[in-house]
Amino acid sequence: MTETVTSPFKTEGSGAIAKSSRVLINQIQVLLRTSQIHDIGNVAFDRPVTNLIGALEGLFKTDTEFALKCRGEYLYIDDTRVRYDIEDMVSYELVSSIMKEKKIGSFNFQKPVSQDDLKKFAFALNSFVPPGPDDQPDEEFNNLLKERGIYSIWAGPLEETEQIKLDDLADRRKMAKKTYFQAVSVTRGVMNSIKSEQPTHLKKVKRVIQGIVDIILGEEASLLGLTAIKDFDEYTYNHCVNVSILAMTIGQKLGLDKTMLTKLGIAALFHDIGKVDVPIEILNKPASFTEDEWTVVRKHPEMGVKAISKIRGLNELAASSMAVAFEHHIFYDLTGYPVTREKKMPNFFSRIVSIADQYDSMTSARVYARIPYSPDKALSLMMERSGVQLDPLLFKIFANIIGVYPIGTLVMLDTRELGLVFESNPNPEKLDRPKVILITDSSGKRVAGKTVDLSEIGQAGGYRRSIIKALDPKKYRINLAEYFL
Amino acid sequence: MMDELFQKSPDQSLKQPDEADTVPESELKAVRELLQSLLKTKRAFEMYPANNPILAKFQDDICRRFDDFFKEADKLPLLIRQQEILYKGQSVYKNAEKDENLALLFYKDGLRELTFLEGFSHEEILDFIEVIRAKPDTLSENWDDDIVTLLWEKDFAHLRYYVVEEFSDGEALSEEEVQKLLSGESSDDLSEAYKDADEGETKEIFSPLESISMGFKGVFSLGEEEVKTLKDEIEGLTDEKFLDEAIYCLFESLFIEKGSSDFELVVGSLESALSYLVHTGGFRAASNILKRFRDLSGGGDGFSQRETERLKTAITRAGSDSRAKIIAEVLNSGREINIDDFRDYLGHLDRASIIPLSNLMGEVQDIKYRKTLIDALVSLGKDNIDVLAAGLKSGQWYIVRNVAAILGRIGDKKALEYLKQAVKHPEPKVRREVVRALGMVGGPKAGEILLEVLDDTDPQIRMAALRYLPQAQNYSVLDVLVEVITRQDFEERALSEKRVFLEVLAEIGQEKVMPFMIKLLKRKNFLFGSAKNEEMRVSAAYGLGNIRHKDSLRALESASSHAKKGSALYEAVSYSVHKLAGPDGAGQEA
Repeated sequence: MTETVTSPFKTEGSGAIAKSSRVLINQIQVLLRTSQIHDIGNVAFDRPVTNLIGALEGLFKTDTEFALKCRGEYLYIDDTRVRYDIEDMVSYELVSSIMKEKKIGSFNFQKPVSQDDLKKFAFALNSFVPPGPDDQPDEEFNNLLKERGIYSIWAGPLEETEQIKLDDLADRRKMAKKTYFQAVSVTRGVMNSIKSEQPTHLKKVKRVIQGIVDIILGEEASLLGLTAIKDFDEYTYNHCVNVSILAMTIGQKLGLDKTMLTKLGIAALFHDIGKVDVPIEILNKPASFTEDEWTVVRKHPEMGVKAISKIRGLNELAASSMAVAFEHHIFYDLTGYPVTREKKMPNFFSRIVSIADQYDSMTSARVYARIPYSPDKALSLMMERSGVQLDPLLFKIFANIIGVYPIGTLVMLDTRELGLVFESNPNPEKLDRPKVILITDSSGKRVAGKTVDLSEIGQAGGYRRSIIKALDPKKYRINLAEYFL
Repeated sequence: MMDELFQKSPDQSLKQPDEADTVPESELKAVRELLQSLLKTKRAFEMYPANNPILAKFQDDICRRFDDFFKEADKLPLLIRQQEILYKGQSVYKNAEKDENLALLFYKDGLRELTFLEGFSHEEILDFIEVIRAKPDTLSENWDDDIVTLLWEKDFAHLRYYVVEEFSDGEALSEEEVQKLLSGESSDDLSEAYKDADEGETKEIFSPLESISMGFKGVFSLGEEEVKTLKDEIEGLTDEKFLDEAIYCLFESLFIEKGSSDFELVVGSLESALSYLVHTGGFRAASNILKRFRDLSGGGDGFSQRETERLKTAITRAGSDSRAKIIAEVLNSGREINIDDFRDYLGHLDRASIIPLSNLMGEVQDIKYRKTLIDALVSLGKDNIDVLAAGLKSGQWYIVRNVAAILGRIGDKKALEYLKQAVKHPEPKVRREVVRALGMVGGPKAGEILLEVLDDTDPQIRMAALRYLPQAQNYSVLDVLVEVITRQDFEERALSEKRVFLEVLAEIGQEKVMPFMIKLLKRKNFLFGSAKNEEMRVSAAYGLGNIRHKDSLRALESASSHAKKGSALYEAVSYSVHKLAGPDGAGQEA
């Protein structure tokens, strides 16, 4: 079977451009905040304005004009998405939320932009009250800019998010689905070759993980939804893929670069590689383990180290995988297994994978409990373990991704529609407003899964939809995969 | 952006052109030559180490060709076939061979289209060559990459490509498997869910994170300190750190596998880790492994004797001939090596590494690494003179020379017996080093051996031997020296050699040889052979400068009044008078 994949698209510019983009967003945020407190002549403007001029110069290097765009949840410089570092998260979200609030889709900058232009622009934006969407808010804002004598900056219209979804979402999901299945089959291939002691080629693993990284950097939610697929195979290949996706999503939030994300993804995919040596009868045992069986199962971390050594010896790629395979059951408080001679904090990757692994295992019908926990129950339990078993900072990041209503949660909305949570809201202030796939209409009649954003404001000015109740989808035998694929 | 991702059809410009379309021959020629230049540059980068200046020439050529091309066009689209590369439907590269085939190189990894865009910078060109150049296949790190994964990692801003992914039979999921995944428990009960949600008590149903739902905003956002902590952790994620972590895991596994049959497997893994680290110049981590092997093989950690023996073997293997060859390759590769780490690594090796390391000395080009090697051999050789001295029997003269130098540095008298055998080595460079070593070891025995060199064919070596004689403190050498000096043919030697002979003779013999020296100084010049006699007098004058005695000074002063000003004799006599009359000289004593 021949599958075609296309070239990876860029999610961030080359080094210098990416840096200027981040400075730009950061300093716009500072500028806007400063203009809310100080007069235009205040010295407090000096620094942000100087920094902004520097960032603009960096961005003008390739062209004499560019646009800072807001599309969906993300900011772009022209067509390159700006990836944010953990430090820039607040600025990034603030700038994108102001643009949405003012109903402006882009700010275009044309060389030369003066310091005065920037200050006046900030005051104009702060004072701007957007009209209804039909009255072209961007045009109105442009008039305001011209009134104030600013010609080097102008606004563009906000692209309808629904429109973006219609264009992209179906395709993205298709791509995500294809990549997910590729990942499962490649994992199976590798595990089989290890089991049968055949030469193992990691190129394919690397390629498929690189594909996942591309998707995660583009739009993480499309794959995250797929992690709701559980218990697909007896050898838990799909558990490996889920853990890998969850770990890479945490890594993405942390601002890891592409190469590092790939490394994390591969290490996470192989975290249970030591289980290839655990008899399948034990792994799939329908009842609780005996003491002897536990002893065997608890050996899988060290077996993982041996398995990786066998296939690769040690190199840069194998090193992180080895650490994760060995340490993913050693907790934050250094308890857990295996019991080591020299006590040390598990590697950063190991701690990330530990969180991803716990979550996916608890929500699956194997390994920890024979009856899976609902996603929110699992998250609650993990919350209790945060700071004891789990790294509390990394858990915060994870909780942010999964949301107060974790992906897969069945919810009833105030419109009396039933839906499944599909994607959490990236804004920590709006964690209770995820994206939801509607599965029934207000009368309880089954409908084809339309995606709605609960942070969407209706005509009356309030939220169009809000969650009023949450239920466990397992209780109603809802197969998430059916809706998410 | 997404259009690009889901682009189903190849780049328009890659399609076969209409028949009416013709591509100017000059354009095709430019592309052809560019590809040839690319191939040549790739080969050059495979052949020469990274620091070789010749590479710059190739680099300049390929960069110039790309720059020239983009003066005329905004992109360079290439369609890849197994044995051919097409540009706008025209063949620009053809090769049916398996080796050195640019088309096949791309094709085999699934690349089907490659489009360079205007703005493809010199930095990107270098990166691209790095991607396509063959890597030494002995390195396991390269098994995990192909051109596609490497292109992805480089994240080229001005390069687009199109790849096909091949699955071998039985690897991809079958339709049934996908179906199984999709269907699962198919009988969901939405109406029941709807009923529960619609009628049930909110409190009963609503459970998500009840404990935090009240204040989740604060709980989920990170404080400034927390962000900094995470950022520091992220910055610490280096390859070096991961290698350390992996080594930690392997050593922990070693303890876990104590007494088990898998002990061997783990030691083997550590050995292969060591090999990988040496290969990549990671001497810091490598020396950590060796150090731990050494610590653990000392016993006391509960390892069996068989196990500690195994660890010792691992240390021995680390200094084997084949490993030494790899070290030489790494040191000559131009790669940045931390010299302290390298020194530490060598310091942990055992005596078995002595010969392989001495063999290295002729292969390593950089003087600073050679010095480090010599230091290591000096410290290793101290307690293993016999092992080290075996290197003197090497067929390669430079190894013999280096071993001699190390024996000299060690300065152990045990080495003399071995050095004696090398004193007649056919290579003058070896003999010179042996002489120096004898001098450094010193002592009467060394003096005896040095005497054997006085008949060496090379005057430089003879003189070197002489200069070391005083340190031997062996008075029996005096007779031999006098014997040589009084030989008929001695006068025929160069003035410089005669001078050294007499200086050394005086230095060792002092008053004993004073009459002999004074006699020489006073010897009358005859018409025939007067120049040679004058040289003997000059040499004697220099020699007397080494004898702190009033008679010596007197004889010199007398000679001074007779010597012709400006002559060589006058110079020599004045020099010695000055020496003896100075603060520490014979004048004071007198």
